[in-house]
Formats: sequence, C-alpha cells, structure tokens
Amino acid sequence: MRGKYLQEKYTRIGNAPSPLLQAMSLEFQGTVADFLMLKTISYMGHSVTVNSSPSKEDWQAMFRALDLITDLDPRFWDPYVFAETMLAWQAGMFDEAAILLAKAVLARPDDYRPNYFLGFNSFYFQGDPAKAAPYLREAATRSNAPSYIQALATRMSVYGSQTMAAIILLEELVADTYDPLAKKQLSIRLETLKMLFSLEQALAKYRKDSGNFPDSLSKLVTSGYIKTLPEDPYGGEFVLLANGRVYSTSNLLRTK
Amino acid sequence: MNTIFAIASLTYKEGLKHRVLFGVLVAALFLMTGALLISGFFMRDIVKVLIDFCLSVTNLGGLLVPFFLTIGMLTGDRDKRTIVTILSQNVSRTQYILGKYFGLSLLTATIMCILAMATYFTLLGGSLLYGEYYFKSLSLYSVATSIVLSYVGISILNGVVFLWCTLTTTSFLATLLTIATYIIGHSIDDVVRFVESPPPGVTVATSIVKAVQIFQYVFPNLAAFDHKLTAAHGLAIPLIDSALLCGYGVSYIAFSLALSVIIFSKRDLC
Amino acid sequence: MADKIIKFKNVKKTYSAELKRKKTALTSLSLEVEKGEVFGIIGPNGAGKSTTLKILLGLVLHDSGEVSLNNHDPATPASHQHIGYLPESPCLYPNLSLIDHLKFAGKVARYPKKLINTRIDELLHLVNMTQAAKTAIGKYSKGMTQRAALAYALFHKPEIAILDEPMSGMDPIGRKLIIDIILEYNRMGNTVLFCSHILTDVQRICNRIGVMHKGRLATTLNSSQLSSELELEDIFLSTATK
Repeated sequence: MRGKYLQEKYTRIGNAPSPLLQAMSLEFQGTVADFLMLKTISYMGHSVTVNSSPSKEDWQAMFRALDLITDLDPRFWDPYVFAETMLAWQAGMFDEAAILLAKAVLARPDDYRPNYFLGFNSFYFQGDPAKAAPYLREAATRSNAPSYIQALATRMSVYGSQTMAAIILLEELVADTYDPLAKKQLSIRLETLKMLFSLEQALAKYRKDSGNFPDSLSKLVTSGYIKTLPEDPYGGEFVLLANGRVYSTSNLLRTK
Repeated sequence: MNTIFAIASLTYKEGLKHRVLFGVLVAALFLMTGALLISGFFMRDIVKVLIDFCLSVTNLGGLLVPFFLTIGMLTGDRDKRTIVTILSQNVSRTQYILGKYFGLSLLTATIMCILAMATYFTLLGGSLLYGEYYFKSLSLYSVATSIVLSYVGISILNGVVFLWCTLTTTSFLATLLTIATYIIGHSIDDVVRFVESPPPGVTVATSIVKAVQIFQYVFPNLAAFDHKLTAAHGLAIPLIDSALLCGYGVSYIAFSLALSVIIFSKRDLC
Repeated sequence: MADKIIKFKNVKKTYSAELKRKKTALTSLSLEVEKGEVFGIIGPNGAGKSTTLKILLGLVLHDSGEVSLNNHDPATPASHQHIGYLPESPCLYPNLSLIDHLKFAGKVARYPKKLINTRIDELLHLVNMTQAAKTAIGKYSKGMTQRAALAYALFHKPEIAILDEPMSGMDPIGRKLIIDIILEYNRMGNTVLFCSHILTDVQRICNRIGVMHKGRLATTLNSSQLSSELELEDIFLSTATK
C-alpha cells in the first residue's frame, strides 16, 4: 500500500506544470529541488526493489521529475548525473537525457561535463561520432576540461577510444560520488569496462600479429595474449562478434 | 534619537522574552542537524544541499518576526493598550513607529545571526563528515552575503507590516495582507514574465497585464533579495548588485515607515 | 486667579467606528483645572470621562474646540513630559519587569544613568515594590500592578498626574498607600486630575469635582461646599438621570 501511495504521489508531482511549481516554491526553489531529487532517488530505489528494474512508466515519471528539478535549480548537478547514469546508460532514453543536459550546458557554462556527456552519449550509445565531435570540442574549451578531451574529439571513429572515453567518464563519476551504493554500482561498471578494454587491446594486438580477429575470445587465452578470460560482474558472458567487437550477454553495457 | 533607541531596546527585550522564539530556535537547530544527515543521501552536490537547507531555515527564522512578532506586538500594543505605556511618556508617534521598527529589526538580526552561526557550524560539520572534496565550491563570503540580503528583504517585509498594522484594525487582516505581500513579492517577477510573454496559445487580458505591471512597482520585489541558490552553488554575488539592492531596500523601508507614520498620526488609538 | 493648567473649550469628539454608526463621546466639553489643585471627574458610564483623558494624552484627536495642557497642544509629545498617567487597567508589558519599565521612563526623560538608578530606588521604596522589582509584570497581583503603574507614571516628576480609577481593585492597605502618595504629591504643588466611581475617595481627595454627563461638564462643585458623601451621590444621580 505504501509503495502504491509513493508511486501515485510521485507521479502526481511530476505532472505539475513547471512554472506553477516554481511560483509555488517562492524563495525555496533550491530546497524544493533537493527534496524532489531525494524523492526521485527513493523512487528509483523502490522501483528496483519491487520490480528489479523500473518500468517504462517509472522512467518517464523520473524524467518528468528531473525536468522539474532542473527547472527549479538549473545548476544542480545531481539530476544531470542521474540523467546520464540512469536515463541514458540504464534506460536508453538518450533524447530525454539530451533535453536535460542541454539545460546543464546553459546553466553550467564553466563546466565541461554537460557537453562531454552529450558527446559521449552520441558516440558511445548512438554510434554517431559526427554528432559527438562538436560537443567534445565545446567541452574542451572549458577551463576545468581535462587535456585528453581535445584529442578525443579528433578520434571518435576509433572504437578503442570510445571504450577509453567511457572509462575516463566513469573514473570521474566514481571519484566524484559520495553515496556508497551509487559509488559501488559505478565501480562495478568501471571494472567491467576495463575488462572490456583489456580484451579489445588484446584483440587489436592479435589482429596486428595475425592479420585477422580470432574465432573466439578463448583463443586469446590459448595464444597467450591474455592469462584468463575475465568474468562479467553482471553475470553475463563476454562474446566476440564478427567485426572484432566484444559483447556482454548481460546487456547491461551498451556496445555496438 | 535617545527616545527611539529606548523604545527599540524595550521592544527588543520584550521580543526576547517570547517563548515561541526560543522554541523556534531550538527547532531550527534540530533541522540543521537533520540537514547534515539528509545531505549524505545525495550523490555529489552535498554542499549545495546543505547550504540550501541551512539558508532556508535561516530565512524561515527571520520571517517569523514579521509574520508573528511584528504583527503580534503592534496589534497587541493597540488591543492590550500597552501603547499607552509608551505614548503617555514624552514620545511622539513617529518615535514610537521608528523605535518599534528598529527593535524588531534588531530582533530579526539576532535570530538570523544565531542561525547564521548554526549554518557555519553545520557546514564545518559537513566538511568533517563528508570530506573537503565535496566542499570545494563552498564560498562563505557568498553565504554571508546571501544572509545579509535576505535580512534586508525581511526588513522590507517588516516595514510593510507596519503599514498594514496602521491601516487595519485587526491582526487577522494584517496577517493576510502580509502573506499576500510576501507571495506577491516573491512571485511578481515570474508573473510579469508570464503576462508579458505568455506561452503560445495563451492570451492575457490587457487589464491583467496593466494590473500586474502596477503591482510590480507598488509591491516590494522580495525575490531580488533571494540569493540562496547563488550561495549554494558557490557563485559570487557582485558587490555592486548587493549595494543596489540595499539601496532599494532602505528606500522602500523609509517609504513604508513614512507612510505608516502619516497614517498613524491621524488615527485614534484606543 | 490661579493659572489654568488644563483647559477644554467647546471640545467635540465623535468616533466613526467601521461598520457602526458614529458615536459622539463629547458634545461640547468646557472644563478648566487650576494649577496645584486636585480635580475630580465623576459621571456615569459613557459620559465621556475616558475620552477626555485620551485627548489630554494625545491618544485621540478632538474634532473641534481648543485643548491646552500646560499651554501646550496635548497632541505634541512635548506636553507629555508634564504629565504622568495611571490608566484604569494598567497596561505595562507583562513579560518585562518594573525595573525595565522604570529604566525606559528614565531614558525617555533624558535622565543620566546614575540618576535613573537613584530615582528607581526612591520610587520602589515609595510604592513598596522593592522586593518584586525584577519580577515580570505578568506575575503581579492587581494591587501590585497598580502600584507599579503609579511608580512608572511618576518617574519623571510630572507637574500633572492624571489618575483613572487609581484605587480600583485594591485592598485597604493599598488604597491608603495610593491616597497618601496622591496627597503628598499634591502638597508638593503638583496638579492631580482624578477619575473615580468611588465617591468617598473623590470627596475626600479632591478640591473641586466636575460631574460629566452626555459628553459635557454638567456641573462643577467645591468639595468644601459638600456637607456629606450622600449629597455628592444625590448630585451625581440627579445629573445622570437628566
């Protein structure tokens, strides 16, 4: 009963028109945004507990809430991270994440990360390096941008760079996150990507030496390129595709 | 001036003895401690959440003065005839209004100072609990400036309360008018923006546009004094902006009190 | 002829209460109080006694006529330095102590700090409130509040004391104390304007007595001309029933 109440109450908040909520918040927009964010995090936790994964309606409710939160406090960083790690990475809602991140670009002009996330989503998830490049070039101009971003902008077509970009993004997110649970989840994802990257490095070396990709990943072990096949922390299996890309059967990492 | 300070001192002492004040301060301190714990649920912007909460509590503490103490003391003076205690001495009505105002302003400042100190210690506790890493964007200067500007905004509201109390005869009406002033003051910017550029498909009557534009200049723009989000994100509040706001605040307060004195001078008091 | 320290000449006052009919409190009041006398005002409820005192204190503005208080307009605060007012229901701040009130009176009267403390000690002794001086007024009994208010009214040694029912609700000891203070105060050359329903007190203390009725001064009597309390009561009742 409590779960149903939480869901109904939460989705009703999400349906409130943004200008109305802003006006009703008077001078407490920041605090209202904080409470809504707390509700969103609890709602996410509740959805995962009840259903093991949020439903499409749950994700939409969370998107609407994040939209309200970022209207109340456009500079609030947590909702944008939530949009990137959950909406984009977990739910595949790239358009919705882009709507939110576009607000961050305007509200956080001193921060490279919104443009970086937009660029990352374009090349990593949507396979569109041409779309990603302008975002990454824009990110590179920010004063707090790491030096490798400029180089990344010019190397979007190289597959290895994409995994490395994901690793760098996750390393930063892990360092930046206080919440222990979120930190652990991101760390697992980071470890998985590092495993993926080491497999890709080994495949590239194999191809360079022999001229072709191997038939299977186990060939890398027998040929001595890697000591042992890593285990997917998400419970799936690493599989080699015909084009030399590595795929996880757990499907929790989106690779193309 | 001595007389005004004497009335201010009497008002301040009287305000300090209100039990509700101490209850509120204790509640506020508990809330700030709660903020310290709740902010840990957030992933990254811990300092922003903490500052949001602490500044909101500081503001709410300050707002108790115009909404409860000012209205209560002014209408109480009239209803319980304690105004006679002051005006039977060599005290003019102007001195009464100014003395009362300064006493209540001092009370507001005291409450907000205590809550500002609590904010400082909460932030200190937060940086010890969560680590300095999450407090990189903290700017104590911005937090302090935000509190000062909030104080000026609340002082404007206090001035307007004096006007309502001299115009009305009941505390209920004065409270309603104060609530209306507060809401209008904080939402007028958004409303003006809406009526001047309504979203597609929405038409706003010319009379409403004109009324809103008049309200914009008649009612105080309290939203301009709200820099909590600026402080929460560690952004600087330009000194020139602060100075302009303070100038606006002082002018509005002077105007409100002048009007209050004029109305009060012509009223029969008991 | 003695100076007229308080003068009312054809004073009118009508209250226009919101949503109610206008109420005329003073129709045409003409009254004079001489310097150094104790002048009593009596009259039935609604006669205009309270309004008369409020006009003298500047709490209420008269509509027409002339009012003078020690040759000052009573609406100006400067006139208040000459008066000490004891209201019918003393309205001191309940959360503050008598000392807080007396210190305030001293500051407003521009007394130097040392003198304020000396004067406070004098007054506390005079009204027998030394023990309770630091207690909040809200904790006082009726009699204690009345004595506290009298001390507050007399702090700045005003030339005119305006006392509205000063003995109301007091026990015989308290009443004697107040009466002695009033008489001593008058012996020092000060003027007392005294309102009361207790006709024995009025006749005993006052030099002259004004009987108000329907917003005007119906008659003025010299106490010395009254033979007994009953006579004053007869005059009061006959005036009130006209």
